[in-house]
Amino acid sequence: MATVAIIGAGFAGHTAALYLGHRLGRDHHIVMISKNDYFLYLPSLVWVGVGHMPPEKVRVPLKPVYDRMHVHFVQGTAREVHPDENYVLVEKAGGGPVRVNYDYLLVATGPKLNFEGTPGLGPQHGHTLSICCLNHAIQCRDAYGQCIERMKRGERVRMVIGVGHPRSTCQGAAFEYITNVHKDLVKLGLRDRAELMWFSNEPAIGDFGVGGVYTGSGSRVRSSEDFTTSIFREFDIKWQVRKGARHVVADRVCWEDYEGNFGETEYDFAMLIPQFIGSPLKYIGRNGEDVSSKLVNQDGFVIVDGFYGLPYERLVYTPEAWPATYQNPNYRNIFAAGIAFAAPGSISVPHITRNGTNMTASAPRTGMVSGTIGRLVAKNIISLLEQGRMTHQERMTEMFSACIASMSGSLWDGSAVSITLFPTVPNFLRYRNRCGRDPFGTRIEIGLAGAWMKRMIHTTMLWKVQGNLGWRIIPE
Amino acid sequence: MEITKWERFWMSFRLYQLWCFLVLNLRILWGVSHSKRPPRFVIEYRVSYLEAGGSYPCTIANADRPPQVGHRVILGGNRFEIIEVSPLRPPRGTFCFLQALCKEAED
Ligand SMILES: Cc1cc2nc3c(=O)[nH]c(=O)nc-3n(C[C@H](O)[C@H](O)[C@H](O)COP(=O)(O)OP(=O)(O)OC[C@H]3O[C@@H](n4cnc5c(N)ncnc54)[C@H](O)[C@@H]3O)c2cc1C
Repeated sequence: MATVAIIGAGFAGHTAALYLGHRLGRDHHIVMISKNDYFLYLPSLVWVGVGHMPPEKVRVPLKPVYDRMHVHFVQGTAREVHPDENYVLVEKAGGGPVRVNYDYLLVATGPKLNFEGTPGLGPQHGHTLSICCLNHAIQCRDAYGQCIERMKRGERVRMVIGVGHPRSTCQGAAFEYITNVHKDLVKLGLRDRAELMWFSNEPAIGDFGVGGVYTGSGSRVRSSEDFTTSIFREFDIKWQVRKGARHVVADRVCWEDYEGNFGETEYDFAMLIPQFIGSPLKYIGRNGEDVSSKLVNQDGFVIVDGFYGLPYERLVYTPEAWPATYQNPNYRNIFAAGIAFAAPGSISVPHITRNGTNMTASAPRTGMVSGTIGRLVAKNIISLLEQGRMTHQERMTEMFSACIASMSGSLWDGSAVSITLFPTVPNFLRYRNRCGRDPFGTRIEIGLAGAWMKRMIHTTMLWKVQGNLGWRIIPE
Repeated sequence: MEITKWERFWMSFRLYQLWCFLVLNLRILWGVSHSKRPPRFVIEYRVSYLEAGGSYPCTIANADRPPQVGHRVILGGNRFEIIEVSPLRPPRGTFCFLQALCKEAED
């Protein structure tokens, strides 16, 4: 009987736990180690942040699901991984440390929100808000509520929304938030009292960290840059792109731009997504030495079977540099999935300013990508246990992903931007067009259909994560 | 660029949006099925064994499994322990070229 341990019950880890529990749970020992006793459906935090969805609706208790799926649940924070001796040290919630042994380990810890990377950023020690976890989204909702009160009293409020670090990612979530705020203010009749400003490190508006999207064919090709520009014009949202926040004070964001100039943007309300780095796990060798360099890169992301260190110009034409099996090359029984694995580079064009600041939108790994990788790793662990070898591989240069950014949740008059990407990371060797992607599978469109899709995804995903009937046929 | 009057009309014309919704669903299902690879592939490995700071000349060997840290290999009659594995160049399809850094085994 083998033990498979998973750290982190997010999109990647939870998906893997469902597949592993379903297939192996009766004969093997599957252990999930996670900080919280619930699965958090992060995409709907945007709605929590504008007060359109109560927090209870984005949480699914994990214990009942795992009991049904034969997965042993340990609620706690993993602190140390001992890869030579195959165990994880966990600080149990409300208890002391426990040791979890494993034969296979999946690290699916998602990101650490690096607010420290930008002094003054974040709701805890800084001045800005975030929607990246449940507490933050609730705080953001309350601060947004206060802004509304001010506007009702006749004050004008300047709201800055976007990303708060030169190397941030997840611009899609911030885009969704700013458009939701716009629609909400329109509904409340307060839009003329708010100045909305989009603030981002993207090389161009509509880049979203994926190098932009081109849709349509022939003379009707439209880029996500045109698309986003027209939405922002329509909504009267101003924008500042090619800017990285250096530090934040109580009423302004101090930034550096692509050209290396410094400046400031004033705000009354700021929701800025921080940089994502890897979870601060310690990796300790047999003799107590630090073996992190064999497992993680300098940002704390787990090194897997990708090819690291290629310059961007070569990476763009090397689709196979992207990992296929998400297995660590040094410790073959350790895998990483979701945001936790180290990407071999960015998808967007990187940029270093004349002051040496790296201003590059990092490669996003969306919920769908994370879930897909979680499933793939689970299937490989299953085949390793049953056949002694891995049978699945899927690189982000051959992986489909969809992202729906709602602008208002209403099913009657709402709308959303639907972005589908195939593949997620451009593959210029396979698709010899401007964006290196399949023209049918890659699209960006706006309309009511997207709002229906967003609601359908919310409902079906919550159904899936509970392991209810038919969960396996619902795409990640 | 602005959103035109026509685009605005189509964006909220419910019958057309129903059509878009169906197409979007089909696109997602099509994309998901196209990104999956047939689940049976065999990775071939070529491994370059190199002694860290030592005198042993590099050996290149083919393998059907990747080398693993902590495992022992016999090279030129001597036992070595693998201490680090890294790819030497990006894989091509199912072919991987790895470098295994070794040190002389203590036992
Ligand atoms: C506001 C917002 C909106 C988004 N909207 C979309 C969207 O519309 N579509 C989309 O595709 N993607 C969206 N994303 C991105 C998506 O949520 C992420 O890509 C996805 O959550 C990544 O999954 P993951 O499993 O890697 O990490 P996570 O979902 O972050 O899960 C990591 C888990 O690990 C746990 N953990 C971390 N460290 C430890 C530890 N040391 N010990 C134990 N447990 C630990 C955490 O508590 C967490 O439960 C959005 C993200 C945000 C923040």
